[in-house]
Amino acid sequence: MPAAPAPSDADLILAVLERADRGAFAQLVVRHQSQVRTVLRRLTKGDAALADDLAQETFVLAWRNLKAFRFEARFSTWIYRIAFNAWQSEARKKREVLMEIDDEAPPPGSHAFEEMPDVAARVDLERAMATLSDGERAAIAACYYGDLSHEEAAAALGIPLGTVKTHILRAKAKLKARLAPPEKSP
Amino acid sequence: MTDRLDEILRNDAQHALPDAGFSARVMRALPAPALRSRRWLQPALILGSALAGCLLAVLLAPAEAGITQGFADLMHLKLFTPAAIAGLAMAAALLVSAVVLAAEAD
Repeated sequence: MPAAPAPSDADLILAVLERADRGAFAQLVVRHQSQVRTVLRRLTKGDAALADDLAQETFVLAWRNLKAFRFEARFSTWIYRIAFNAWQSEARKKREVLMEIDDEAPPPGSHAFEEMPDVAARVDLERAMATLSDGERAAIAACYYGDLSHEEAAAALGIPLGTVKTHILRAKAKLKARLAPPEKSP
Repeated sequence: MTDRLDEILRNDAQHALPDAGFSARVMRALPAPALRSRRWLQPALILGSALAGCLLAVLLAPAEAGITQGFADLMHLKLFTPAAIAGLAMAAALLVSAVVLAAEAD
């Protein structure tokens, strides 16, 4: 007999809303914990303990506010928005989070990226991400780690779509430059 | 050109973090089930207590300290008559209830 298909996120959310089913919510946490924690680790520049604290806060807030979930959006989009807000609140306690476009030009050497050998895939991506501005890092985290479209990322981050696109372009230019191998001396 | 950076980022994003007790930690941090399933209870208790207090004040107050008389006294700035004090106490009880409920709603 074939195993029953795993319940969808929507089924689990309904179970939580109708019966306060903690088991269903636990399944949602297990299903989404990796991506939420990864996004937050990238946002917190690799601070795993802080990222896990924020991820926990994110899921607790999701439990408390699940009745506000609108089923038109994916659960992941909705929970990333909570995670981004948690990160922004935490960051604001320490300093201002700047989601505006950073006018700093990407460092020289970005052209070398196309020649990047495979071994370069092992470079410390986390450190390279830490050099991005808050807005650039958030946009990359949303679109690549959160697997959100640019439109979804704009909604989740609360910034205009054009700003998201600009952040992505600039972040990628900076990352390419950071991850490229040093140019060989003649 | 297939963007090499895209590939690196997507590979990094697909790397699954082991749960390592995280989900259990989240479940322990959730509010207690009883509180969630009977959320009406706390507001009902607070409002009920305030209304019961007001009712007792009306019933036990001396005849000349009726609530209507109390508010009439307050309108004429007679703040320290028994009726005015009873009216102020009721208003304060309802105000405190409203503040507590508003704070809880946050």
